[in-house]
Amino acid sequence: MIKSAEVIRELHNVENLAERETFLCRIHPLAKVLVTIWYLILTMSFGKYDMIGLAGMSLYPVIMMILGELSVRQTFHRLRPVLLMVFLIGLPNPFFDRTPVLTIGGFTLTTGMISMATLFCKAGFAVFASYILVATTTMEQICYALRKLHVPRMLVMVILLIYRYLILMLREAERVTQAYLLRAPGEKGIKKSAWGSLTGQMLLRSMDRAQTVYESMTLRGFRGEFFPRRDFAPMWQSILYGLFWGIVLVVCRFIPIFGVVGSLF
Amino acid sequence: MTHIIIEIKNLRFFYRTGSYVLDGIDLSVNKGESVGVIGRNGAGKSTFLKILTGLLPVYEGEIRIAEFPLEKKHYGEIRRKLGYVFQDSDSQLFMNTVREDVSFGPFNYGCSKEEVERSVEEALRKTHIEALADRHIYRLSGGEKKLAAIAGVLALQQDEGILLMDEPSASLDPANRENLIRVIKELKGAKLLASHDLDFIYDTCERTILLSGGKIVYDGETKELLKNKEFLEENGLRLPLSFRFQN
Repeated sequence: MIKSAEVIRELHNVENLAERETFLCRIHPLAKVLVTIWYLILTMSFGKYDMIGLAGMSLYPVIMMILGELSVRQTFHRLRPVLLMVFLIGLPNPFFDRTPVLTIGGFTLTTGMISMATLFCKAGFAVFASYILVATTTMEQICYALRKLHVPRMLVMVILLIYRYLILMLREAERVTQAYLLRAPGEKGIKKSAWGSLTGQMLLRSMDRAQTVYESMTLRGFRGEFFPRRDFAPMWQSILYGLFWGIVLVVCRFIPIFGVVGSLF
Repeated sequence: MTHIIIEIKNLRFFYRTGSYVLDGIDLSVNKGESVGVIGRNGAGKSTFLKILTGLLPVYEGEIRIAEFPLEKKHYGEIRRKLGYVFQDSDSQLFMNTVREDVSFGPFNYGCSKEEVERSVEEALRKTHIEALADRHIYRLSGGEKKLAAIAGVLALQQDEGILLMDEPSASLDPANRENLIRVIKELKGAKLLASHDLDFIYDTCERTILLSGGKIVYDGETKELLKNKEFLEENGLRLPLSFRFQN
């Protein structure tokens, strides 16, 4: 099975998730986009050693996964390459920052370890929050929300088109790879000597197809505006949703919930 | 009241890299007329259709579509009347489901949700793909994709419009091909179909133009043209199967 086909299927699966009729999918995209941005800002604002405070921010992905009826196993499966990368980024911290914080038995906890864990959690939470947004909101709806926020039309169009072209490029990659492998029996992958020309071909072909998509959109009246193609939940629910998370996230940011709960026992 | 819906006078077009692809085309198409556009590879069939959509805006001559001159300021009105079905339906369909893709055009033209729903249902009915409305694009067969692409174009047209199709029968199996012929025949608007498939043209168009050397070398009844073996061969074409075994 060629990898790009799997990726395309996964992209379609995530789109399917966003089109379901769950409570979260029906919330207005503007509310979901604003809450996600708010969550990312607050999560990133934690200090590099503030692990206990940051732990409180885990409430958002947990509750949202439940509300969005998203499978934890599938989510981890889809995000594993990104999570691995995040883990690798934080990995050098314990080697450079070795100030001891406490010793339990023979194990010494250093500030580098804490900063590594914090970095891992911050990036992990950000990835989860973004995934939850795209798994409950289609790309069209996200673009619609961005336009409501007065993000320049050109920028929003670029986001949408990159998303559309990504699928086209993957399809082209799949075709090119299949064509190559069919004429190169016994080879496990594509020879390095062929990478350059294959990539060039793939780019040219996907540019051609991207042009056709753009022409097709233009011919059907697309001028950079987006329209919600579904009925959303009543507006009061979306406002309540936004207000609820706006307040809860501020509370999580300034009160170390897990620290407070721990001190009770 | 005029019945002409497309009027072309002395159309000339060239790509920067070469000579004239179209050189002095004159053509009038009446409302409801089906016109086949045939010619050898590189004769300019696709270019001709693309010019009519406004996708190739720099040309010489005069083109009027549904009484509007083909100029940028009228693209909005013209594209509401004139739809173009690409050869590669895969690139034309870019939304998730058939319904979403078909509704793309009407939404862009500011139709209300009720209007969009009505025009989508109508377009799906005309193309006989009501059952596919909520099917994902990537799960459609080649023939279904072609019909979904036609529906996407029809949903935009308020009344009898113009349908341009580039190689509509390409990569269709016989059953899908027959189905497409039936759908095209049922559509009431004007149609311009560019194809190499002369049997398909015979089945769908009462009138055909033959492009060669940038000019229209034949404009008339399809049957008359398609039975003229020598003339077809002179222009790089072959007698269609339907005519080979006659006599």
